[in-house]
Amino acid sequence: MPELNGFQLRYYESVMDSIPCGTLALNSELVIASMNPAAEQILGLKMRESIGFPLPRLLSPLLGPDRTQKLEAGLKSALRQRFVLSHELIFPGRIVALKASPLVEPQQSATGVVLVLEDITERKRAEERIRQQLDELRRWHGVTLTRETRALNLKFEVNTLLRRLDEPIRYPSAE
Amino acid sequence: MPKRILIVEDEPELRRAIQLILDLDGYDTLTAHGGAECLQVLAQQPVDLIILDLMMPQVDGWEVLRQLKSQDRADPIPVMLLTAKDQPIDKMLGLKVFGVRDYVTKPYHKNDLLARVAKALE
Repeated sequence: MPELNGFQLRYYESVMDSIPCGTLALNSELVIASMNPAAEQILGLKMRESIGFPLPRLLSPLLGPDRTQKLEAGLKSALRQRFVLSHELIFPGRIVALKASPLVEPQQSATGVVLVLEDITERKRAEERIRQQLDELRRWHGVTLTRETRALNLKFEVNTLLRRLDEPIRYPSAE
Repeated sequence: MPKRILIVEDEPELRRAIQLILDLDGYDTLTAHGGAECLQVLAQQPVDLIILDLMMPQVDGWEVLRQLKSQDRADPIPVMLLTAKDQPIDKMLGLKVFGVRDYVTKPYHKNDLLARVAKALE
């Protein structure tokens, strides 16, 4: 692997630091090798206290053991089987969308995982609001439709009675 | 006075081979078969260099490095990683994140190992 000089390293670091999505690189044991400030903010973890530690261990107090185990299994599968994993991390009061892709180096098998994180809490809230409004609309639609049907049935009944009396029907629209 | 080196390796034959190479070159060696024993040895006696394997059961090499880093010593003990893991991401973790002196991948040549041990002890 060619060595990076100081200038190149600073350049790549500044690129990583400027990405608005959280990005992390983990080795095959899911130990954090690098992360950018957006990842720090999204996960609520301090960079200095996180790099060098296994990600599942850091997230366990926030996610709980079951969700952490599920995440760990998913990341290891993505690494072994080389697929892109999409996952949602549900923290108290926050939802984070995670995409994990295997870190593949030239002529080698996957040597780690790269994670991209996005805080989707606001989007989820907006989706929930839209869903509630849609439910409300459907309910009103149902009520209105029932009322219309009832009115139509009554008109049809009136027409039937008038027909029996040999009188002209009053509601042709109900026929 | 010879420099004291702690060899941390879970494979007995590899551990013995490294010890033999270093003993014959005049170093004072100690051994540990895992991360937990390594930390116990370090708590009892000072060493000049740790040669550390990464992949070990229970307490692995990364955990040892985390423990050493958390001690935040003014004069951190130099560490040389000697491992089969040759991926750049692991080298980056070892050298940049944990600040180890050297990262040697297995299989190694005896003379190369001795040269790098001497350099790590400088």
